[in-house]
Amino acid sequence: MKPERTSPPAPRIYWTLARRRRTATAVRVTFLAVMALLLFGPIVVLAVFSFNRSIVIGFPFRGGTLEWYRAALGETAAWDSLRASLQIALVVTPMCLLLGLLSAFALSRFRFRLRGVTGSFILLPLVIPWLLIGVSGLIFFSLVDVRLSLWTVGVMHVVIAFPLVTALLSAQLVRLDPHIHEASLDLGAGEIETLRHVIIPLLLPTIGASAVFVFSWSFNNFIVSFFTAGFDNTFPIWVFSSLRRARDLPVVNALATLISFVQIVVIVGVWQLLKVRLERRGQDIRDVVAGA
Amino acid sequence: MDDPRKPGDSAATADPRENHGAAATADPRENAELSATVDAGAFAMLGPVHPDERRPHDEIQEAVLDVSYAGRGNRRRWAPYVFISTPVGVLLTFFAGPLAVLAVYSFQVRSRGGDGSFTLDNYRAAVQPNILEVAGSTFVLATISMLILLVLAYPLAYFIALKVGRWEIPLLLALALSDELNPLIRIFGWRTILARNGLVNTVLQNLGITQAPLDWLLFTRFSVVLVLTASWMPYAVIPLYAAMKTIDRRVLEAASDLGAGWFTTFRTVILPLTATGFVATMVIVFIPIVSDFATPGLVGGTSGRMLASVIEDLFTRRGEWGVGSALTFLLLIVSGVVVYLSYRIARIRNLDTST
Repeated sequence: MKPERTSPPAPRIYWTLARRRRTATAVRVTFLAVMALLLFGPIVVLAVFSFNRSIVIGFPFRGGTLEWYRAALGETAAWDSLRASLQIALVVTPMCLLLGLLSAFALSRFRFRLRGVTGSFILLPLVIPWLLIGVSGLIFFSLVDVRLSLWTVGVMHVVIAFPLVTALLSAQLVRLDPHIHEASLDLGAGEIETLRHVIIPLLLPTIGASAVFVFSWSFNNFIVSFFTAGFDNTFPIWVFSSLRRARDLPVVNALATLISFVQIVVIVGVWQLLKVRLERRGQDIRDVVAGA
Repeated sequence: MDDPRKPGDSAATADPRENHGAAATADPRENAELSATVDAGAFAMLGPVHPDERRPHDEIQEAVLDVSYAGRGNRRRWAPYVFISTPVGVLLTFFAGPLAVLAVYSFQVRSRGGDGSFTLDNYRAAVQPNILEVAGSTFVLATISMLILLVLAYPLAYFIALKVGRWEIPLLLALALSDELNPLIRIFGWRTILARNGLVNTVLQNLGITQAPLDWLLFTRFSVVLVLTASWMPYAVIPLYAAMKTIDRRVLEAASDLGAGWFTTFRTVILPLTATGFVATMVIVFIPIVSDFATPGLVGGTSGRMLASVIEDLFTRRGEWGVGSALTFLLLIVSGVVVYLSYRIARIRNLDTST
């Protein structure tokens, strides 16, 4: 990495090194800028043109307006779909946390027959394409004569999302000192008390991070919802069908910008909260992202 | 340990019928299996830990479990089943059940008004030349997207994990943000950028670089690859970042002290240490890319059509549930083979680097 350590420094080398470092920084900054453009460019473009007084989303810029936002307020189908998505995510998240916690605790703290098989089975939904899960849900519910609705969407969201919680939490549990669990049992606590008063408090940051992931997985999911929603709409389904029909695009744009803005505010807020909480415990948010 | 009995004692006094002995011999394998799946499902930001690093800790945990549960096994044998039964029940009903139904349907006559008699026609219909053509182009497009994705994500993860210093946390936040934003909104954004009268074309024409709008920007394979790459980027960067983070900084310092330049360090230290994570990431991004139909459906047009759109069409518009099921199953099998091969390769690579 730093060849200067091996060769005795001569004045000329400093110049070369300084130039090389400057080039390296330039390359790095350019690369990061391109990646930022790739990741956030589309959202920024939408946000800018949502204020454009033109039916076409693009140049020329015909002056600022809030017209599209006003129109968006009256778009009841969109707001209904948004409410549906929020309701689903709000129900799905606690269910997933519960199921994930139970399974992670059992898998990483006990030995029992078929533990390996059970562990693989629970994590399987993470490597099965969502398309397959959505399609099979569609067939299954029609076979057992359950009308497709937001409820069936919710059930399928639980199926795809709780194994993620299991994975995140058991990664964390494996790294917890097993003596803590032992000590709690030795002091007379039962398994459930141990879980409630010892394990859960220790896992709280990871549980918080899992909640964020599950919520946004559910809120953003399109493929599984698309097949299992029947005549109901979630927000991603509404966006998809509006784009397909290419109808009222500036209004869709205004709504999309609004949603993205709220998402950004929420995620940044949760991130800061988690970071502060973790720092207070002497932990690092980077480790939570890396799952370490 | 506060357990009054010593480990040796408990092993001697334990009821021979208690499955402890059997479990102790069977478990290391089971445990390896579990941690392998945990890595496989590594969707999970839980990122692949280098096996050499995990093993000692696992062994300690095994030993602790051996000692502590030897005397208690009988009393608490119900506990894990109580915890595990609900999650397993949910998955059996709403995951395994539906997949089984799908499997059965793929062998039945299930078009509109189908009577459900058994047949192989669905599979015959699923391997028709026109569908095979789409399947071929799907795998080509998915592979190209995956490769571009990895080529971009790997250095990005490298920079964030090891190079940017105090910018690390802000960049991670940016990554998490782009991961949580709605993918359909992002696709919408790309459409406005790439459209005939979109951003790129207007800018190019106003600058006089092109006379007429470029036609190949949207509703082509180009747009499909571009949007797939951009959409799944965070999914690739996060596990790669996790893999980079498991590299001991002292190893990098040692490499530098021994006179290795950045390229040598990269080739002989970083690349081998992240090889497993690299392959895991390939799998993590390949599966969703292959089964994505929002992207090809919205920016693919006719030339960028992918297998998932065909399946969607069979189920939602044409009512051909039997053929759809067969095709879906073939997709599962092919991606399963890809996943399996990647793991085999990863394991071989791993042996290479650890010896």
